Amino acid sequence: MSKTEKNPESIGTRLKTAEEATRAVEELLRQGVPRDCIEVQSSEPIHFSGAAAASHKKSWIWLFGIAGGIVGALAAVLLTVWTSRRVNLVTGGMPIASPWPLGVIVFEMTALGAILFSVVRMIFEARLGRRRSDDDEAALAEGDIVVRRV
Amino acid sequence: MERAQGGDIDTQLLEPVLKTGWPWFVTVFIAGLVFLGAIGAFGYQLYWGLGVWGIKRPVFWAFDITNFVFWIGISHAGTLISAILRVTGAEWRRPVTRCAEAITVFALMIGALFPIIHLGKPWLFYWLIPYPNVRGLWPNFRSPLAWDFFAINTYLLGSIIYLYLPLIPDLALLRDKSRGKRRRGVYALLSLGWRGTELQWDRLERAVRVMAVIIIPVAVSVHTIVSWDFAMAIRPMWHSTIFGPYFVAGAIFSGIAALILAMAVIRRVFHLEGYLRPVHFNNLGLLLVTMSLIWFYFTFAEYLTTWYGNQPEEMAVFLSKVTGSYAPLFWTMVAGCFLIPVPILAFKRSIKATVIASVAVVVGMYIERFLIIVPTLSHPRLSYNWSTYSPTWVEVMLTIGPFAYFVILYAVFVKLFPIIAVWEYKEGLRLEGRNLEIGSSAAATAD
Amino acid sequence: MSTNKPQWGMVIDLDRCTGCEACVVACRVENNIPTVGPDQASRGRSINWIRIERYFEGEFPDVKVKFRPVLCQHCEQAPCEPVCPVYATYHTEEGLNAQVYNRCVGTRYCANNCPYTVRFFNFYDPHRDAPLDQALNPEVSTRTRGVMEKCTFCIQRIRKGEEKAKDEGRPVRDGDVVPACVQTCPTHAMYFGNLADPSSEVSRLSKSNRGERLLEDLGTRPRVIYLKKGD
Repeated sequence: MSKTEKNPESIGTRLKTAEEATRAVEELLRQGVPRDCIEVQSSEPIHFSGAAAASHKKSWIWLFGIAGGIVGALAAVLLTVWTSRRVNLVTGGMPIASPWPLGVIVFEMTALGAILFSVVRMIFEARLGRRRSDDDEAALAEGDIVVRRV
Repeated sequence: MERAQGGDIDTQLLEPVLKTGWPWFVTVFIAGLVFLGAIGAFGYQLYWGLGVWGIKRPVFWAFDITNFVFWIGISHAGTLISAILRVTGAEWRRPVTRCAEAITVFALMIGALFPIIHLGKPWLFYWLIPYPNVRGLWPNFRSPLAWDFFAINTYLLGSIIYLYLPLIPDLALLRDKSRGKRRRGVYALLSLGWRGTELQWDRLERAVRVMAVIIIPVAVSVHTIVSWDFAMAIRPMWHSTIFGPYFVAGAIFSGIAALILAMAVIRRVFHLEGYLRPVHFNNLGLLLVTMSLIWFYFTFAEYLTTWYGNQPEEMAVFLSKVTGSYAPLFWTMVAGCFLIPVPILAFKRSIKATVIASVAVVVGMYIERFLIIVPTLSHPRLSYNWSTYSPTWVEVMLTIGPFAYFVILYAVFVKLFPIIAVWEYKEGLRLEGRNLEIGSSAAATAD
Repeated sequence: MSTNKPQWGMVIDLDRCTGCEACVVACRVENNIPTVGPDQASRGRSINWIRIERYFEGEFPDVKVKFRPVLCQHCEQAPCEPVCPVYATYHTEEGLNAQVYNRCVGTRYCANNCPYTVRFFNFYDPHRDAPLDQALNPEVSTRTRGVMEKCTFCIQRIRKGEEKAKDEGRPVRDGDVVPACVQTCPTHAMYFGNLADPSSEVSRLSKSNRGERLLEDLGTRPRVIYLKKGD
């Protein structure tokens, strides 16, 4: 559960510009609120710098991407080599399971695995796909920034 | 041209989604009729057999595979613009990316239909899918057609994801702005509960970067593999190592031209003159003329080596294209792909100039696909079997229909989603240092 | 070849071939090859598993005509085989290039990759005017539209010959298997048999110094040997 969902009572302040939002975040920090208890919602990405800079946990999307690639490659090798040997028909005097033509399939499935694993990890890390709390929907739609304490 | 004064960005960019005028309906209706005609032609072919086409022995592939290669080629628009420009940090890409990504997805969807349409028994297309079955048989992974299956599906899935990820924040915007419970519900579902927190933006941007990096080699591999449908065969003027790079360059070339045309249409029809500005057409025009030079280089290299080698079976194909019965098409292709666009674009890259050049390129590249396939197939090694080819109305309908289908898909897309990525565009404005207020109340000022 | 199965091959003596096309007719009768009618034939859809290619050399009055019967060469390294995405064509242990009609989905890639242009496609469902529909060979399956077909070296006769030899408890002998074209040729220009059997006629003739293979430089290793010395 996100922190807002745990604490639905927290009300956000609506601000109009990135500068105002920076000042609001700095004010909260001065009040002693930990940075990861300050949530900023915006309709476009804002990368605060300096004291107000966000501190996200490390992202593992890249690692999942690599893992997905390896899984895809292994799956492709298994699929192509095992099935080619099982069917066991000679075509054109070519070897039954040769690395070069099968390598094309391995390449594609490596990419496929990397894509799928990366996206799934991203959805998980961004906490998407969960039921939304009642945010101030109009705020973002009108382009305001919401800063709240969670 | 200046942006509309006084309107705000969100209203302008979301207007096509929230409001529909009668021209949209007329366009979709007419395109729908043409598309239905193509479906009818396909039904006719399913009933009677491939004999209703003009293909014959030895020209077993003609417009079916021409269309296939052409549409897969068009699909390289999105990848180049969106991914490469994202990876290299080119800021001018922002209003263009979604337009391009949508072209990719739809062109791939259409291109992927043709391997099914061209089969002698299309209802058995699923035999190319690797799954355990009672026949105990698997696809032959040694075949370039099996490689096509994997490449195109990977690219299609990757492109859909690559289109979808940056769309999520805009879907959330539409969720918050739509009236009507059903509409809101659909957008809510599609936006996966996007809240626009810092964490979500960070993760989204990371994922989009990862996708951009992965999708570039996938796109290169896809058209290389499609070119290997020809290059792996031992036919004169097919069995050439240049085909991989040649096709990729040609795909990017025709893709950019298609993107310019799509952008020009959207700009006019949806009054986005303030967003799709001359600078975008200028930059795409520069890319187009570069690709035209690259295309010419590859083509010249291919034809010079063929002519110089003087092998009889290759010269038969070469002469039929350069001086023989395919010569009118061949020289039209050279004009469309090189002689017309380069002089225009070298000097003038206004919107009108790039559009004219792009039309020439699209026509020229279509002819190029045809000329790769048919002259070679018309001249097999045993010259007793040489033949000519001409299409029938069924093939003409199956060629025109997909264009109508593309128009329909694109029109529906523009109706459902903003064609310019709202958040990305506004982020670009802010990074340019315009000190604009964030969001919809920002005034859209003139450039 | 490390198998004791027969390795089928054919020898065609071009010095004997008169171009009469009896082999063409015999083949279509034996193998249920459909006629497509004059209209479709003019559109390039006619099917002839074996055909006589005819080339003219020179100008009148010094014209020479050359005949060459061309049929599926059953290449040992057939280019048509690896490109089929569904394994509808593959190489058997007896050296035949097999075509499986009910596996073919009709991509036609095999036909595009065959340098001998010996593969044929059924563009329409075959239609046989009476009384041709009564003259089908029950030992050969008929093909539907959408399917590739080509010379099989009369595999039905090969099977029959092999089964007969097996029933009689002996290996296949030279002369047990005679494809329709070989059987019909009036000048005895065609021979068929087991290339792996050193005593067979094809084995002997394949070593003739009149022997050549068609498009040999492509490396397809065809199993059809042409004998040619005379001009």
